[in-house]
Amino acid sequence: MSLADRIMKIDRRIIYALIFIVIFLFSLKPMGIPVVTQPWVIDTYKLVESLQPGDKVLICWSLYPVSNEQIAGAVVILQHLCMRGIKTVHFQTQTAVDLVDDVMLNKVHPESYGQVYGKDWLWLGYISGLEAGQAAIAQNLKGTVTVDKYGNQLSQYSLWNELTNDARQFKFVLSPSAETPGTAGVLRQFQIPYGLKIVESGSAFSLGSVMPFYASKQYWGMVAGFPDCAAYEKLIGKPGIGSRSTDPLSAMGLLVFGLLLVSNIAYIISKLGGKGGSVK
Amino acid sequence: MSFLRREGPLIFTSVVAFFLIIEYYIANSQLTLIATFLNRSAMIVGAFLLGFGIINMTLIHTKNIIQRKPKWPFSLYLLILLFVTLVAGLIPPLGSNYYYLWLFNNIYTPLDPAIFSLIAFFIISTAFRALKIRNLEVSLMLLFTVVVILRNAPIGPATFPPIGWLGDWVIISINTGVQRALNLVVALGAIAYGVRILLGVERGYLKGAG
Amino acid sequence: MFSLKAGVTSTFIILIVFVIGMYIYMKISKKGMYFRRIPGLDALEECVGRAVEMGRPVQYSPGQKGVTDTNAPPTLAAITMLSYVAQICARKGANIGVSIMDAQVMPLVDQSLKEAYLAEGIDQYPKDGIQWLAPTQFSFAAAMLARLRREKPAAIFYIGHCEAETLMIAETGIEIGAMQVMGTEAVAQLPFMTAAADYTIYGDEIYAADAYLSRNVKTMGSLRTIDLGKLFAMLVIIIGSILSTFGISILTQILKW
Repeated sequence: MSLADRIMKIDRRIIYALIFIVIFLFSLKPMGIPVVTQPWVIDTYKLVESLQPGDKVLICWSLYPVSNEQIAGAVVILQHLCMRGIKTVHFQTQTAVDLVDDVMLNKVHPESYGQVYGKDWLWLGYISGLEAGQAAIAQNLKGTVTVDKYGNQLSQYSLWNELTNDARQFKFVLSPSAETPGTAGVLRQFQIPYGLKIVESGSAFSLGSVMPFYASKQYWGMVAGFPDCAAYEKLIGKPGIGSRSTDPLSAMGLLVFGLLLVSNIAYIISKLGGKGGSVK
Repeated sequence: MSFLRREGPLIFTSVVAFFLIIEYYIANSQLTLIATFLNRSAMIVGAFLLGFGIINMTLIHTKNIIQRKPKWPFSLYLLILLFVTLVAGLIPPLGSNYYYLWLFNNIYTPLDPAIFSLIAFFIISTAFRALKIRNLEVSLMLLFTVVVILRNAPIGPATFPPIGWLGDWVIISINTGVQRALNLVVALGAIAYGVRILLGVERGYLKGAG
Repeated sequence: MFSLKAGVTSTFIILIVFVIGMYIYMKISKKGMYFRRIPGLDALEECVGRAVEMGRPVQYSPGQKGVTDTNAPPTLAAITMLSYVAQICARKGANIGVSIMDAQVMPLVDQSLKEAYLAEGIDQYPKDGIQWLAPTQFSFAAAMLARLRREKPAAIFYIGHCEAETLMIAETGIEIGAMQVMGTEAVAQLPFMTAAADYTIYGDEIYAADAYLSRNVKTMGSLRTIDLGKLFAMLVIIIGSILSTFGISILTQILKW
C-alpha cells in the first residue's frame, strides 16, 4: 500500500487523537487572536443600548444544557441587559431543569448589577408543548402560568404585576436556541403576529440557518458561536467564555484545513499513480 | 375495522385542524379561547404519552433480564437508573428536590455535552473521508467548506482578511439564497402534505403501505 | 364579529387558492404522470435486500419529534415510509427494529408495522423491535449508537425530523458497514446526510414518498400542485426583485396585506 493510500485509509482514532491534542494545547495558552465584529453582533448591541432601564425583554430558551457555545451568546447579552437595568422574563420550551438557574445564577450574576429576582427578572419555568407553549405565552401570558419555576405564586412578584397579556409589552424576544421549536417557532409566534424584534443566540452552527431571517430583517440580530460572543464581550468590556474559546477554535480550523489538504493531496497522488483511491 | 375506528381519527383530526387554521386567520376572542384550550390539551396529551415510552422501555429490558439475553446486566442497570430517577423526581418539591437536582446536575448535565462533543470528531472524520476532489459537486463543497471553516476560525480573517469577506459572502449570499429556496419548498411540501392528511387522502401513517 | 387578523389576508388568499388548486389537480390527474426519479426512495428495496443477504437486521428511525407540533409532517411522512419498508422486510424475511425518541409516535409505529406484516399475510410482527430509546436528543443519540453497534444492521433508515445526531448515526453506520438512506426536511442536516449517507432524500421529497411508492393518482396530482406553487413563488420573487430595484413596492405591500 502506498503512502497516499495509507493516508486516505488512516485509522480515524489517529484523527480523533490529533483533535484532542490540538484543543488541549491551545486551551492552555491563550494567544489573544483578534476577532471580527460582525454586523449582526453590532445590531444586537445597538438594540440593547437603545432600551431604557425598566424596559422588559422576554427570553425564550429552546436549549438543552449541551455546550457552553450554545449559551455563551445568551450569557453575554443577559449581562448587557443587567448592566442596562432591563427586566427579563424567562421561560423554556425544553425540559432541561436548572438551565436558567445555571445561566443566571452561576454565569450572569444579576445580583452583582443590583437586580433582584421577582422585581427585575422572573423564571416561569418549563412550558410544555414546544411551539404550542410559545403560542400560549405569546397570546395569553398571565393565563398560561400562575406559579414560577420554584413553585411560588407569581402574583407576589412586582414584575409579574407589571406585566400584561399583550406580547408587545416586550421590547424584544431573545431566543437562545438549538432545538425545536427554536428559530422558526419564535418567528411564527412572536415576530409575524406581533412584529416583535427577535435576537437569536446559539452556536455558530445555527448561523447559516438563521441568516435568511436576519437578511430580511425578521431577526434583528444574532450572537452565534464563540467568535460573535467574543466580539460582543469586547463591545461591553467584559471578556468571558467567548474570548477564552477563540484560540482553540482557530487551532481547530487550521487542523481541519490541514487534514483536508493532506487527504486531497493523497487522493490526487493516488489517482495519478493509477491506483483506484478509496471512494468513501 | 368499524367505520368509527377507521374514519373517526381522521374526522377528529380534520375538524380540529380546520378550526385551528381558521383561528390563525380570523380575529375573534371566542375562537382564540377554544384554540388556546385545544393547544393546552395537545400539550397535556403529549406529556401524558411519555408514559408509553417508559412502559415500553421497562417491558423490553425486563424481558432481556428474565431471558438472560446478551448484555442483560446493562438492561438491569438501565432499569435501576430509570426508576431511581423517577422516584427522585417524585419526591416533593416535584422536580426540584435535592436528590433529583443532584442526579441532573452531576450526571445528566455533564453527559449531554460529552455526547454532543463527539460531533466534532465525527464531522472531521467525515470531512476527511468524503470531501475529496472526485467530481465538480464535491470539489465545490470542499472549496466552500474550507472557506467557511477558515472564516469561522478567528485566525482566518485576522491573518488573511479576504477569507473573512469571502466567507461572509458565502454565508450571506449563497447560503441565504439556498436556505430560503429549501425552506420555501419544504414549507410548500408540508402544507400540501397537511392538506392531504386533512382531506383524508394521505393515510399511510395510519395503516400499512399502499 | 369575524374579521381577518391584520397582515394575514394575502397569505390566507394564497392558501385558499393553493388548496383549491390541489383539490382540482387531485380530481383531474390521470395515470401515467411523469415523475423524476428519487434515488433514495428507489433504494428502499435494495437496502432491505442487502440486509437479507447479509443475514443482518434493518434499523429504522422516524426522526426525533412527535405529531403534536410543527414537526408532525416529516414525522408522519417517516411513518408512512416505515410502512413500505416494513412491508418489504415482511416479504423478504428481514428483521426490522424501530428506534423512537418521541413516545407519541409509538402507537402509530406499532400500527404501521402490524398492518404492513398483515398485508403480507404474516400475523406476528416484530413488536419487540420497537424501542423507545430516550426523550432527549443526545441521550437518544447515545442509545441509538449503542443499538447500532450491538445489532449491526446492514441497512439504516433515518428519516423524519433530524438534528445534530444525524452525523453521529451516519458515521457509526459507515463504521459497521451499513447501507444508509437518510432524509429530512431540516435543511441544516442535509449537507451531513449528503456527505455521509449512501442515499439522501432531500427536503420535500420525504412528503412525496407515499405518492412515489404507491403511484396513487390522487396524491401524485397533489404533488403537481406543489410544483405550481414553486413556479408561483419563483414568479413573485423575480417580479418583486425587478419592481423593488426600480423602487416600486406594490408587490411587497400586497404580500404584507
